[in-house]
Amino acid sequence: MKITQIKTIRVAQFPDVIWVEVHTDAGIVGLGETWYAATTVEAAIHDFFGPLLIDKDPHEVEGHWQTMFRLSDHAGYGGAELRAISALDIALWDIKGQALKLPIYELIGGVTRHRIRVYNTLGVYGDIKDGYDVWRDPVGVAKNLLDEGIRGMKMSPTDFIARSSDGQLLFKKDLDRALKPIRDIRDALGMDIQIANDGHGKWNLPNAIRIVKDMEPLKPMWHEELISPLNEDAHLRLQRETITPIAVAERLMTGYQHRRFIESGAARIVMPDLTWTGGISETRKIAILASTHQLPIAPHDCVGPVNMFACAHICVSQPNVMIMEYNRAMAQGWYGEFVDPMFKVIDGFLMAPEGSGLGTRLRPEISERPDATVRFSNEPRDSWLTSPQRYTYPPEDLRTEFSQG
Amino acid sequence: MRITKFETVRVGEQPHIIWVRVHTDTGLIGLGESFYAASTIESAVHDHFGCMLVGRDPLATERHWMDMFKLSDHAGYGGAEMRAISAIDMALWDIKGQHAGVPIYELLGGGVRKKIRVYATGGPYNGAGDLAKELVDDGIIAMKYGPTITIATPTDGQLLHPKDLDFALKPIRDIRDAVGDDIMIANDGHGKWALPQAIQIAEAMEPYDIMWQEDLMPLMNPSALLRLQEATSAPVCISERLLSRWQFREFIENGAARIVMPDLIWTGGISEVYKIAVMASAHQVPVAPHDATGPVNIFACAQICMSIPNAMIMEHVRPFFHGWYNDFVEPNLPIEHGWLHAPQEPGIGTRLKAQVFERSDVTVKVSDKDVRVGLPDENLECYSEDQRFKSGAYTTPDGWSEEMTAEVHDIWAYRKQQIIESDSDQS
Repeated sequence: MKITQIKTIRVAQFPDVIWVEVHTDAGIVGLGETWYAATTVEAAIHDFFGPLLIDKDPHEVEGHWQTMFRLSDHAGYGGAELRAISALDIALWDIKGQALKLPIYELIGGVTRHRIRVYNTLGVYGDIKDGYDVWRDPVGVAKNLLDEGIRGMKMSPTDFIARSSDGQLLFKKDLDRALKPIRDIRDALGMDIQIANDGHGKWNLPNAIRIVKDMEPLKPMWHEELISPLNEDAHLRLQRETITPIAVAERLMTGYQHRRFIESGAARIVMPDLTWTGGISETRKIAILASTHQLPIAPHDCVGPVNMFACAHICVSQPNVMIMEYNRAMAQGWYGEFVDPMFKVIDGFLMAPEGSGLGTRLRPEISERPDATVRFSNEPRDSWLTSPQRYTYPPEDLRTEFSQG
Repeated sequence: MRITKFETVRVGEQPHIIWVRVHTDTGLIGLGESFYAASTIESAVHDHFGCMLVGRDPLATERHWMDMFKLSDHAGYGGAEMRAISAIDMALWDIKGQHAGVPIYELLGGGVRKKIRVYATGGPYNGAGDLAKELVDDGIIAMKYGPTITIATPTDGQLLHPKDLDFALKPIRDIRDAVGDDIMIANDGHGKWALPQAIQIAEAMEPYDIMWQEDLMPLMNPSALLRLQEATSAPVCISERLLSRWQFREFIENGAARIVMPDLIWTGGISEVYKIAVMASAHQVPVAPHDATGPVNIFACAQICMSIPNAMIMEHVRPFFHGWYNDFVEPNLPIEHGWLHAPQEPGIGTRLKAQVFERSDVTVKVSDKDVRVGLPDENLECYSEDQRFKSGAYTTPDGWSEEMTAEVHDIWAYRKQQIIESDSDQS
């Protein structure tokens, strides 16, 4: 089987989402997705990584990942390039699964469970306004989630009060006010619902320590990114100040960056974003790395529907999965307009995908939308890193003197 | 002063290079540069960062760096986005220097030296000895080769036959045979090898008195690199691939890096390289900025090298300097007899030649929008406060005290006022 074409699709309605389809001469189409700075990802896919895959065998997923990563790492890996690699990696796994007529989870270990608990990140889309409602009626939001069978939620109560000082100054009275929704929920519902705290990397270390100390009586499920994961020693200092586990974090790129937080003990919960950190291949490796330190993973979402499918394959196959993020406002609001079938969340559990490969397709009508931007790559190109013509290579006639040419 | 538009310039002849020009309402234009996956950088400049900065005061370089980095780091910083940030940061410093009427190094701390030694990178497999003689005659006292890069390919760096290594080191032997110790030799490994092979290479090169061993291994694990440093007497040097002070930190702190080699146009621009240099100085480690890209990078590195106490030596590629750089910038680099001299012009010290814009292979793109395309989606956390403010998307949650809400509105009003004041300054 050979890859024949790379196609990207994005829509103005959701300017940060981009889907990639990898087409093959066998008629199989693999689907991938990522989120954030979509036009930059699009350029990376068509001008940088995609042409490397054309005419190649899609089954060699690990080899393609290494080739793409090395090309990117030549000038320092990360950002939009790693998101492009992630999306392409998902699509390659999708092809492999479809070709073998098996769901991806069967290829990366088989099921260790058939479903995984989800928690709801308080979002706002359409009729669901959890993110706003939680400030006015926190107990109502929590009860509504419990009624849906969802027993965990994530809130970012301190984002707002970090803004005015760039996180450098924390006023005690503001923190008290910011934590009021969580106190109200604890007063009314006790520990019926678990509450995770996401700080979006907005604080410096001493303010983060103050927040974890003040939140101790509220028994959060975890603290996530109160400080940006730029320094594992700083995170370790934060972890030492609290009994609550520290979760890091969707902005770490590849297992190499996760390693430092896992080995140092700074991370007690590992939260890779599959569509940012390197796709299914890399997230699985991160799960393995975490498992050797007896740590769970809790994959990140707030991205798009394909990410949920890809994470579902990780969640049902890897032994050390704790819980899966779910944004019901986005999932119930717009995910279903783009993919068919939709993933299933039943009684607070994300169910194992059905069918072969990833288990879903991008609806064909998406490419026809008036606000869609569709771009194709058809021409192969080799990576200059593996080109036989590099200026540092010995001349042709001397190469026979090497034992490994 | 306000930023009015972002302009990127690429040419087919040098497909990896991208120049970024930041225009202001005063007519001052700042020049920046980056290298690698240029079209991806172009998209990041126009669609991601530029639209955030249009309308702002260009002099607030630290604020802009912070906002761009946060915008990028929301989904994991690095790659083309860091290169875009680097190019924009350089251009903003260029504007600041021109505005003040002095070279950038005067704004960074003033000159601690008037010139810095350069070394020459690259050379052929056959004829290394002749090249070394030529360099010595030209006043250049150091050179860099990468003889082991290519022999890593067949095994992905996992196995190295001693015979292949011996064969690959021929250029190094030729150089020593030709000029003895008249020239220092650095070895660049381009991150190809596993740890035992890296140690094997460093050990085999010990007799040749290597100036530094650079990037023999991928820069993924500071502990592993420390093991290499402990196994060789040559200083270990890293690396153009590390992005921002946060990635350099651990390698510097654990002692794995004895020489620090940031690439200014990849790692975060003038602002970030200055910080990396300060951090290195706290560990008594020197800085040897990376090149092999474009002419504007060396101008920016010259500004750093003149102003930081711990600058060691500056990289350059001699065929580029004598060749295609002349087609694109005016003036070309002040390099003479092995020394890079302090740039004299205000700002970064050079301009793109007008003829660049008339080339048939040029791609020029301009953006002057101050709101990101496709915005606003008020539910997304990541957009900058400025954008949310401009788009009217940002609202304070219900239930906040009036004081708190007023404080946030004060900050927005303050930023808006800065723009208005800078407008009236100009008129």
